[in-house]
Amino acid sequence: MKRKLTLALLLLLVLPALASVRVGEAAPNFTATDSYGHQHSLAQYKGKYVVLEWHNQGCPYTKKHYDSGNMQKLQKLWTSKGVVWFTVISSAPGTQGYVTATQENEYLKRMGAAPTAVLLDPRGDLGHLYEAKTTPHMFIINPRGELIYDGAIDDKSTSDPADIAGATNYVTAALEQSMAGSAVAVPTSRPYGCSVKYAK
Amino acid sequence: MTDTGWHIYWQNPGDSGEPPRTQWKLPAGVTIGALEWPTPMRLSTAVGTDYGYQGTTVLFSSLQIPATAQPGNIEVGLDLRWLACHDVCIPQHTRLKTPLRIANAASIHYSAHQILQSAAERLPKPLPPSYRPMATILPNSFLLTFVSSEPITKAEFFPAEVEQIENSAPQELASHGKNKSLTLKKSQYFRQEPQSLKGVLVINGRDAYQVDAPIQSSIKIRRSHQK
Repeated sequence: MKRKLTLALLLLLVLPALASVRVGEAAPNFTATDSYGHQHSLAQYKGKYVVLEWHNQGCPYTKKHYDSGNMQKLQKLWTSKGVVWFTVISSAPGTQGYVTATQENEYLKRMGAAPTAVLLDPRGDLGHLYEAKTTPHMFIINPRGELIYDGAIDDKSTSDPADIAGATNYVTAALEQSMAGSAVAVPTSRPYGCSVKYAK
Repeated sequence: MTDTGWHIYWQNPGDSGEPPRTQWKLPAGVTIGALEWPTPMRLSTAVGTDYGYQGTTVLFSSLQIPATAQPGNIEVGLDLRWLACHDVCIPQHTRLKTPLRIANAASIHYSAHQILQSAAERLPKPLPPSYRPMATILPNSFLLTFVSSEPITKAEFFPAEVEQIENSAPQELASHGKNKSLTLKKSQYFRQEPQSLKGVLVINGRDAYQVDAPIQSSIKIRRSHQK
């Protein structure tokens, strides 16, 4: 009996760590530091939409959306409507996309990027918590703290900037639908891009 | 052909990457078929499993010359885009063109013939109809069933479409006499029930077959249980 109880307790302790991120469920809370040294937790943004964008400035798929100005346009559009936009960098030191805070701030300026903040995640904690697979990989959390989108930025899974014009942007669609009180038509999609360069 | 450590992707790249894309420039009347892909290999990454090729890869496409074509020279052009990855990925783009001579008898260069012949052996073969492949959609998985009297110790399925199978999940083979089943974990991005489960089935790590398994709907299953 005692052993059973211990086992049950152990399971309780282990399960939250194994629980994966699922659309329709509460998004796991996190605390992370941005490129200006400020701390952000998901919990402090309850009441707002939060977008997470996995990023690697050397990745051709990230370049597709930044060199064309598409990502910056989305960041400006949605932050102007009160959405909190976090760009997350989970590249480990020595891998593609890893940057110091100074390098990232120079990049933001050079590219005219306008996220709310860039969260630096070189240990990959936030990336593994959300099971971020690619750059870009997009997540949207609604004001109640529930995950409402997990997947690709759009429906054209190529690295060719010419494909942006004819693409359906899943992030914009999900935010528009959710803000209008409708269900998100495409709540998950296979994220496309480079694999996130986690520490090995 | 990729350098050591680099790879390109299959028609379903898996959890990251992108398949090669072709845009042909053909003379009037000449048409070309869809790409035929050799059996891919699994490539493990930090975030999952990709499907692709290392080393020399030949993708086939059949060119159709109209019967009314006059002997002489034509030119076939190809705008080819592909992604090559190692730890990092580099998009590649090239424009190729090759002259072709239309003649009354076909001829092929000996070395090209060797390359094509060995490459053709890497193409999956059509699955013999006696296998009667079927797929059933369960809450968390696809059950791919087929019939074979051969001893099968290993079976591996490569899904042709994205957003169907969890690429890194183990695939469980079960045998009940001739009836075999392979349990394939559903992708977390699974959304739309397909008409059929398409892909490549590799049996005993050796024989690769093209599979197009019709989806058996749950209504049909219930009916067959009533019988």
